[in-house]
Amino acid sequence: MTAPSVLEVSLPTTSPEPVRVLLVDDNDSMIARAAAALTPRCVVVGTAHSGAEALDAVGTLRPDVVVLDISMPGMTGLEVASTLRHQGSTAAVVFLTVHDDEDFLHAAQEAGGTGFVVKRRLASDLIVAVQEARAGRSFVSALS
Amino acid sequence: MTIRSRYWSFSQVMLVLVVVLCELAPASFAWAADEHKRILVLYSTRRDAEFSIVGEDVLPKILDAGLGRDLDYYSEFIDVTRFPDPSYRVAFGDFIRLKYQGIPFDLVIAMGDVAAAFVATDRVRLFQEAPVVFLANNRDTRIAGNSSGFILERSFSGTLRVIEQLQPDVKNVFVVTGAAPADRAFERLAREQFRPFESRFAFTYLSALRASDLEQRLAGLPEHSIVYYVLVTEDGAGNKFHPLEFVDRITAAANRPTYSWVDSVVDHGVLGGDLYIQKAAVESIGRLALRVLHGERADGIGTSAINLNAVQIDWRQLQRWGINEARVPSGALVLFREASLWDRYNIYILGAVGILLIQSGLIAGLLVQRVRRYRAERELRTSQEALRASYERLRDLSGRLLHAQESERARIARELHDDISQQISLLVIDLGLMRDDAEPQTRRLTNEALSRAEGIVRSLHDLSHRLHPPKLRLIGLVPALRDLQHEMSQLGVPVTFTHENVPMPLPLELTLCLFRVVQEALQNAYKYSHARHVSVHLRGGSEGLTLTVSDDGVGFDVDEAWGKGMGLISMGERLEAVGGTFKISSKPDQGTKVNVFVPLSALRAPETVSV
Repeated sequence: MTAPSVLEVSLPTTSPEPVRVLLVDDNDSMIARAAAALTPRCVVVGTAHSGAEALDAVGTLRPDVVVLDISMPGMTGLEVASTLRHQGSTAAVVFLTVHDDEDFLHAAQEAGGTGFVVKRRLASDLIVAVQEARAGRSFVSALS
Repeated sequence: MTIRSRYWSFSQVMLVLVVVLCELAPASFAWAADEHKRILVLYSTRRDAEFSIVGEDVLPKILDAGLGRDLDYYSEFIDVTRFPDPSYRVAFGDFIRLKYQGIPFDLVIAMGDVAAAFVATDRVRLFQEAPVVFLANNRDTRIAGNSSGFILERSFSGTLRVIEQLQPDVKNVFVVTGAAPADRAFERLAREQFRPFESRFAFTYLSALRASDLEQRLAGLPEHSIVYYVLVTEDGAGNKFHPLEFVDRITAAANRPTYSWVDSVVDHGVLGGDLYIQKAAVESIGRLALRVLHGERADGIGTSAINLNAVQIDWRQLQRWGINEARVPSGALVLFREASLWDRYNIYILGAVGILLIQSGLIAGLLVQRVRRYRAERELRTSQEALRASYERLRDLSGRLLHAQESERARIARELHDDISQQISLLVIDLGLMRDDAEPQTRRLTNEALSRAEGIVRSLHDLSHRLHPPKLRLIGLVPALRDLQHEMSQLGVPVTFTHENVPMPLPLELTLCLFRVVQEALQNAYKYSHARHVSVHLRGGSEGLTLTVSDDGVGFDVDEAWGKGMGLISMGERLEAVGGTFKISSKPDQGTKVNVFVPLSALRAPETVSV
């Protein structure tokens, strides 16, 4: 419980406003876990189950951070990130993926991702990655 | 009268000539009595009469052949028809006496009544003891001394029976005879012989008419009539004719068929009749002469009557008068029958038909052959098409099989990843949360569960990677190939992987294809080539994408390997499906090199398959 306390302390100084987060994953359980991990320090402004939904939601909800799954039916998370960057979106992107792999990390970074969290480390890493991304810093889960 | 005096002077000249010739004959002129047979033939007809011509043609030949030794053959012609005056007979006798003085004849042959009478009268004076053979028409002919002969009575009535058969509707017979004494003698004979037929036919005798009158008369004969030509050597106007020339005029003028009694008239427009065959008569007398010449005494043989008539019909006249050939009496000789086309050309016709049949057969054979060939070609084409179609089907099937395999693998991989991996990730997350709140005892168990769950995640990751690397779809070919490189290196075969200018993104199908080709090539290098090192090079160029996989292994016989699995066929088919080409070169102990080329057009192909 040390890490959350550190973040609790730094939270008021770096960002008095709660971070507005859009969660994108085709799996509702995963969205629920992510939302649980981010609450209450972040505000989940919306959820999306596909790349296309995500692009719409970013346009309307203007989140600070988009938490993106990579493997989704249709558009992949990587493609969504690239598209957002090309559209001039200011939202930071944190990838939340099962792909515990260097290549995916590189691909994520190339696509414009700020954070890279492997799903099994969701509980501990996601909130950190989101907050770091909000602050313009990169966070990467430890890869096996 | 002028004509007669001219002939007399001719005879006188002849006599003088003979006398002179005899006077001039050399004294040494002597007959070799034993070697030669000397024969004199006397005719009752002029030299150009048909009977004379036949006799002179046939008689010498018979005698020559029968004697087999030298023959002195003499012939003379007593033309009483044209020279009826008795002084001609006297002069002729003198002529013979002078001409043949000193020639001992072995035989004298008298042809006809006049000659027979001449010999009978002057025999002793002219021919001393020479035997005589004669042919006479007068049944009362007798020659005293060593003589023998045939009495061949003229028969005019036989032709009437022929007419009855050939033209049963004939009622009128117009008999043509001449004005000369001989003509009248023939007429008398004919009248005598026709008398028994007067109940059957109405006879009209056109005797001694002027030739032109006769022709006019004959041109207008009524129906059911015929012309019977007996003999004309002189017409009513005193004009002398060759009897056969006169026949020509008659048959040309008459509007009904002409019949006659002697074979010389045949081929002069006469239809025919029961005819006196002159050649047969000459042959008979020839045979009789030979008997005597061979030593038989003529008076020992005696005199007999013969009949040598035969029915002869001119076929052309049958046609001319429209008479059915079926009516010709049996045994009759039909002359001048025009051979039918069949008779004349039957050999050619048969030959032509034969050739035609053979040709037809050949043509038919060729046609049958052609039909068979066409059929065979068609069947061949059909079977080729069927073969091609089945090849296409097979290729399509194998393509679809590959595709289905890939799809299935991709589906399972995604299930594993997106569902099971996801579930286990959730499990891990939940276990992590549990562990944080747990008692120390539970925490230990939770940790164990966590690490087991994480192990499952890794296994799933590997499994899904082997089935269908998610990287291919999510981040592309190069990272996926890098994973392959890593795996091979872990098996102990170092792999060099270089890439340059690889266009991004590539169509997913092409990505998958190239990945599988490299995977297959690396498998082969490891399993079969026992390579120590493998290099993979991927390069994008202006023409397209080039992939090279080469190893330093033992290599293999490509042709042999093609049929042994090793994935070469599937490599080829995968590449063909995306429009690429594939070449593999390997020799034993010289390593293997796989060259793949994918043209630019294939690189731009839209993603058609979602896997």
